[in-house]
Amino acid sequence: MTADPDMLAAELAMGLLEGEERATALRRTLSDPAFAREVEWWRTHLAELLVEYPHATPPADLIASIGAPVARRWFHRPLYPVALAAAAAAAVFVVSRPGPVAPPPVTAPATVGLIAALAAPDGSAAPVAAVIDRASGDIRIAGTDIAPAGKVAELWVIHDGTPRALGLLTRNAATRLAVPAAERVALKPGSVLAISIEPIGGSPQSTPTGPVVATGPLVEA
Amino acid sequence: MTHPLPDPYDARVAICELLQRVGVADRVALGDLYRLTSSALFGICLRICRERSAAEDVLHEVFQLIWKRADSFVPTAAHPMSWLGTIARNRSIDWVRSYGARPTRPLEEAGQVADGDPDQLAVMERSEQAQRLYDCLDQLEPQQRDALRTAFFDGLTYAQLAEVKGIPEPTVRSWARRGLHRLRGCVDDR
Repeated sequence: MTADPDMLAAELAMGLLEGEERATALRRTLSDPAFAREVEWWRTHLAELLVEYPHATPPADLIASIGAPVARRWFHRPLYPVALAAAAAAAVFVVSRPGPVAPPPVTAPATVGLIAALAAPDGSAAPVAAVIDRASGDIRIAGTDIAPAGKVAELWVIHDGTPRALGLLTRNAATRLAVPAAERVALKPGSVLAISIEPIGGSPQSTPTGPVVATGPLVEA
Repeated sequence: MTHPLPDPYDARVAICELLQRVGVADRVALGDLYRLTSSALFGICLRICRERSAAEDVLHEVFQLIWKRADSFVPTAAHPMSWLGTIARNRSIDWVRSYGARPTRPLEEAGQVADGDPDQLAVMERSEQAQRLYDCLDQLEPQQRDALRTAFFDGLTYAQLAEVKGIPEPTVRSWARRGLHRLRGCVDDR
């Protein structure tokens, strides 16, 4: 009997994987653009089957709180490198939208934080610790000299197979990154944090362009 | 999933327009979008999460995401419900991977996806791309097709699929991989 074909991209899109297998596949979406495209191919095609799910009636008032003023903090989202391409269009939206009228909710549940140890796949460098304060959404990440001269280290979160830029790391000093609410949903146990090496200013596109030098799954602190 | 509006083309246009308005923070549009799409999306959440309260939490999260990401929605050849449904399925799978409902647990309320002949109206309305996928699924060995359909619709891992089917996991993996491989080749060739 011949070996089974490698269908990792399809298995990830199907949702068949869990644990370390899933984390490995998610990491590969970061480091291997062809693999990421293959995952997308499967997502797009499998979506054709979604019409078969029978409908079910949800509560009518479920989304009453969505978009209420307290939820609007995310309009403050800073311009991350990935957003630069869309900056002009985004700026139009930002100025045309009503400004935030209330401070962030103070009723955030007393959630524990999340931590990750970002390690090089070959163990060549000391792991870099990252701590996420779930209430504020801030990430603190230890200082590292992982980026060579003339390059920067960029932090990503991989969730649903999609990398999202979180920000650039300060060389040899701890970095604190405010995470926009839109990205915060990706910061949950099982998501993977990753550091890639990018040109000064960060990746010019929405995915890493340089090598991924360290990764680690988020776990409850 | 039946179509939320009588005419599928109208429904598609309406959903695209609503998404564009949600993208500029129009809450009225979000309410309209919810009325139009939530029962389809809730069906997905309920089937995968298997618990009404969990499915409601996930659906809330889905609409929060739609509210935040609608401005990144780009109308394409794909139906906008594919975009929304994929979000609902992925969030539901995230939920079960984190808080895990067991597959052996009986379904609380979620409807079953019919295994028999599909609704003829739904067949007529299939896009060319969808028809190609269904044609290729039809060419798989029944056990391969059945394993893939069960895993997809219930959002199962290999281990759960093996448990549900009462078949050793290596066998299930082999069926699924060979089926997916064949499906990939078939869809591309046509």
